[in-house]
Amino acid sequence: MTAEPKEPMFSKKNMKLIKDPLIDNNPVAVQVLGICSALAVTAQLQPSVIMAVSVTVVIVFSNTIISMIRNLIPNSIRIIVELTVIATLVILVDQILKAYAFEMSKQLSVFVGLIITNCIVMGRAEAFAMGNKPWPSMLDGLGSGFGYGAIIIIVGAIREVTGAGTIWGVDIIPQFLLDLGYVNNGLMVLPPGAFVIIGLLVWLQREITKNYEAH
Amino acid sequence: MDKNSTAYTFIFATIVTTVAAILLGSAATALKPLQDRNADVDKKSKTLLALGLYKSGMKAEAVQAFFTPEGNEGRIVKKFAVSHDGDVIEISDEKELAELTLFTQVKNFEEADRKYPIYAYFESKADVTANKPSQYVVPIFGYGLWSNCFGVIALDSTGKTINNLVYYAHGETPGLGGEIEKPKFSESFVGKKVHDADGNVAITTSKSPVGDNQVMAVSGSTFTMDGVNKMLKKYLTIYGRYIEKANQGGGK
Repeated sequence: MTAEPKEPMFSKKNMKLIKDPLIDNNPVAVQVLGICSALAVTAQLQPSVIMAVSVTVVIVFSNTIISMIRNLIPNSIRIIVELTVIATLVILVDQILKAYAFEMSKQLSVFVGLIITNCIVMGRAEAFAMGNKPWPSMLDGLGSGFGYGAIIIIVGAIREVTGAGTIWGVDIIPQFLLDLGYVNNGLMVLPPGAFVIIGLLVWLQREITKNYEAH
Repeated sequence: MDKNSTAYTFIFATIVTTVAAILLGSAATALKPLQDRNADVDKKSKTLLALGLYKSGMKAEAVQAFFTPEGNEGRIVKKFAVSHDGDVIEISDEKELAELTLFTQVKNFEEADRKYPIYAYFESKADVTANKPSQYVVPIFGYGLWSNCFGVIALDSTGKTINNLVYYAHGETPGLGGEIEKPKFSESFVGKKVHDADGNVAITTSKSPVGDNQVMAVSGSTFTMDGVNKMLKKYLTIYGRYIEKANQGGGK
């Protein structure tokens, strides 16, 4: 093995790992992963933020841990080992939420447990962490977590404002608008509302990156 | 050692699962007291919600205060137990009383041998001394379509009128049977009468409710509604015996 030249911690290549999933290769808008939870928990802003943080924590740790033991994992049980690491982290997050944010964990209910099946986490472990060093793997996890989080936080904010007329639980629709006959859009509280918003975000994302699919 | 040999694979898998098990086991043990406390406060806040005392964002300490002898600003919720025949069962052990739930009683004892937990709400300490509760809260529990459903009902002091009904835990289908947890379903019970003209427990859900004994059923959830009707009938009959005796002055 030849000694590689030492790469700076925040080299251009490493920073790209964080920036890429934010817009250019967003896990939700481009790879269309993690849609299930993006529909389910985004009716309000607060659960969206908690979910975004939870997924980011899980993905960063799973990527780092899997990358650290990547050379020890036997090929035949690769996927199962990845799953064990992810599942362990998810259960830890779930337990901690139950202890310190009980209301939130009740509201997120099964969707915390379902982070295990969130394709973004598994996808990054298999596609990136298995073949890269811990530091870049951690950055990649951070980037993917932020990319997912950014989308669900935007969707959560839009749905809460348009569907319930509140933001972070605080009423923001001024009284004179209500007097004029403004009503909240009930569709936005339901999962189909999230489909519409995610669709619009995908459109926006394509317009920014000019990265259209060839037909 | 060859990384892809069977022996290595087994050893590796054993190590990984052991580490994961130790991690999760210690985390679960360490966090258990906090989680239990949260679940307890959550259950108590549902009792307060049924009584119309709970405000969203209420602190855990404020919720707990209602259940102490001093109460929250003099408002006191007292827990005790009654028998199947409607007599008070004295439980001197505080821990036993605190841990008494309808669910564990149903799981462990025959119907006639169970201790049925019940909450009385007093508006002041003077009312406690006079034993004049303004409302009762009784737990209900039963099977819906898929799952155990847990709820509480607030009754007026005569036990004849329903002040509120709250289902706080269930595993019914969201959008169908799961609608029982929604305020819309709860609100339809407010002010309804428990008994019919003959004094039997007659409160029930119905597709086309008429009179004081019927509330609008949730459509598309026949089995959940059957379960709801059964538990209403069963527990309102049992707790009704106690409340009747208490009002005649013989209950306590």
